[in-house]
Amino acid sequence: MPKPLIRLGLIGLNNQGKEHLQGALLSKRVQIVALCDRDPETLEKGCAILGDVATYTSHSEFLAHPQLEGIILALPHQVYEDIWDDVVAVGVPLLKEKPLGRTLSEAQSFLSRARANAVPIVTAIQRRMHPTYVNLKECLEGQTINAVTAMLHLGFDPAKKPDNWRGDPVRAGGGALLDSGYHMIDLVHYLIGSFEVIHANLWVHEAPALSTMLETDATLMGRVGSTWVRVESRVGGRPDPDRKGKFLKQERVEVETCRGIYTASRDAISLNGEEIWTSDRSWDQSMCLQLDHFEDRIQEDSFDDADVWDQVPVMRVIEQAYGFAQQVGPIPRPVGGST
Amino acid sequence: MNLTSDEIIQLKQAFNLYHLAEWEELRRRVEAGSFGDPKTSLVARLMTKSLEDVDEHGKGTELALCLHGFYLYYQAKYEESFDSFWSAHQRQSGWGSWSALGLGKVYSDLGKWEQARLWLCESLRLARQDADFDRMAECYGALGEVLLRTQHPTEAYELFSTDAALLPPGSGERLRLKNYQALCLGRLRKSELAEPMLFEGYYSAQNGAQNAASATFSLASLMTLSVLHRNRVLYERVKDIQANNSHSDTVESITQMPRGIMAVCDAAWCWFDRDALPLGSQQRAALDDKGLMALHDASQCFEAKYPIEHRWGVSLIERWQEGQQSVDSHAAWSKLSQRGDRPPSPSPVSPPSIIDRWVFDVDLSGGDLIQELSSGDVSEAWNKLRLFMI
Repeated sequence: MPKPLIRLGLIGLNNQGKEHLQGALLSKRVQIVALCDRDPETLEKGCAILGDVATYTSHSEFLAHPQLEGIILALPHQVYEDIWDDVVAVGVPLLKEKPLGRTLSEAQSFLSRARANAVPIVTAIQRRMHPTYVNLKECLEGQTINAVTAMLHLGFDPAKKPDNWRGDPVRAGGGALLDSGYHMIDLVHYLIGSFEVIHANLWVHEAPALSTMLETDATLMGRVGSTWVRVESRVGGRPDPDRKGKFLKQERVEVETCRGIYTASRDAISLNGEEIWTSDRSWDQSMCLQLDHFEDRIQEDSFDDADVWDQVPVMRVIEQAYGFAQQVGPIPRPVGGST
Repeated sequence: MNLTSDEIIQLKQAFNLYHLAEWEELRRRVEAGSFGDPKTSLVARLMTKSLEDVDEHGKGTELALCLHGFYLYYQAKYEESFDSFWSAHQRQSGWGSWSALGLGKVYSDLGKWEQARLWLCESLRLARQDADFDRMAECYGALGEVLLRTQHPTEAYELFSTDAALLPPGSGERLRLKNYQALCLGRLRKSELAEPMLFEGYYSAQNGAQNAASATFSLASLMTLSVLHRNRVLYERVKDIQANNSHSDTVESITQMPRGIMAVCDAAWCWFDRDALPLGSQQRAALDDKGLMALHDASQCFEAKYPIEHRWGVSLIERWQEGQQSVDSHAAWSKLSQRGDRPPSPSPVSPPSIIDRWVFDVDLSGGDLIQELSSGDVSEAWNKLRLFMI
């Protein structure tokens, strides 16, 4: 007899929330029964994707939905602090979009408050579920790894300041490093484990980012044992030769091993230039797998501390990187975690 | 030449002093007997002996050749220095990062940017394998110089920052790197960041005997910014500091470069001022004299160890006086350009580590140091201060 679908609620229906909706449509193991967004229009669009579902514009009403067995949180970074105690009070497992917090101390605060309510958390990091990166990790098994580089260029115009919460340093908590850089730092952790930051540079266009600014470019060098790491995260990227004033969107991971150099983008892996794996580059499958994984944990009540504690070293790397960058400017970073 | 482990340690220490350009300090230590009897110690002998004196098959030979290479390099004997480094590198006995660093620095000084980058990345690759942080720091700094001089200040800034991050705590090199980072910011026209960094560098260096030379470097960097940005207020501020500076320059040989650059900056401001005056006026003639005298001072500062800068100074005098360079000057430039063309021109075989591949994405094709310095008239020449490392 098939297991009943796990009933989830989703709060936050912007970009990342929509990805979760697409993943839920593909999943045969979860069902989204409640949606919440404070913007009725956004809520309506989400409802149109999913069909029959309860909708709320108030988070407290959403959290009181009687059928929730788990909650997906895809909210702007600054919102969590205000609602966190209400969320963990529901007492169901949480799948929280990255970053774990805007700062390491905020992340640790979220964790301890969840733990006090015996609420398990899983951080949503879709790259860990993407077939290409899962396969790359398998390729690297047992190999000596000399170096890893991870690069994510978003291809947006870096001169254009976002007109939403992402454009506000306090609410966003950080720029390219905390946003897209987080993905690549986590991916490196996923592939080789944790590493130590040697140095980081943060820029706003062509000037070092002072702490009150949102960095548009971040580069970071790190090391663990004899393995060297470089992460590069940019809001823009290289100029697009075919479209004046536009930038190329690029994502690439390279790993230098005893066998040679693996190069992975979301759609392929090559070894020393020879393609050895191809995949669908879209996120749908990985978002679905992420939900299935969450469902597994709920069904089996088998939440593993590693699911979330694994994110603390990532936050620590980001914190260290901001620390290095602050050596240019005298003003401390504006965002502090809750105490 | 079979070296004892003590001798290898001594050579390493000496090498570190060399590659930090602490030439006077090394000489002082040799004379004080820190490396054994000054008449017989290996380090003392290598400071003066020729390449042929080094046994080709002995243990530590590559290191000894590197040391000798740096001895020659800091005297601007580039061809002999190159041969020593190349000889060392061919031995492949585990000191490759040291010899590749030397080759990269020779190419860099001669403005052969592509070759410099290749060898510095090779040195970096080998140093990374050995977890030799000293060498890595040195390579990042040297690569930063290449990228700054080829007008890539953002990338250069990143390289200097990485160099600084790899230095041991308390390293005296940090002040020098702050100067370089400030120069990068100046090139990015971020004066509000660059100038405070340089003033901070000046005052903190001035207060410490060990960093006395750095104070002069900071002032020279500030003066350069004043010329590049045509910032008279800044120039006058630096001149006031210079006038009131009672600090004696105890490290004269190390500060030849910044003192020469400051003299060029003085000349530049004379040129800017005289240009605004009517032809034939006495004031204009006085500024001509003052400017030319400053250029003569600059050339003297550069003469011993900085052949390209020296040639530039001499050619500026000609261009100022005659409106053009002499035939001899053109020939001298041509000769300088050829110094970097080493037949055969070897290149590293291994690709750089993926960690440093981004450095190769930077387009260096536009910059030819000698061509840029040897062309144009005086009014354009001052902007070429951006091509020098101070």
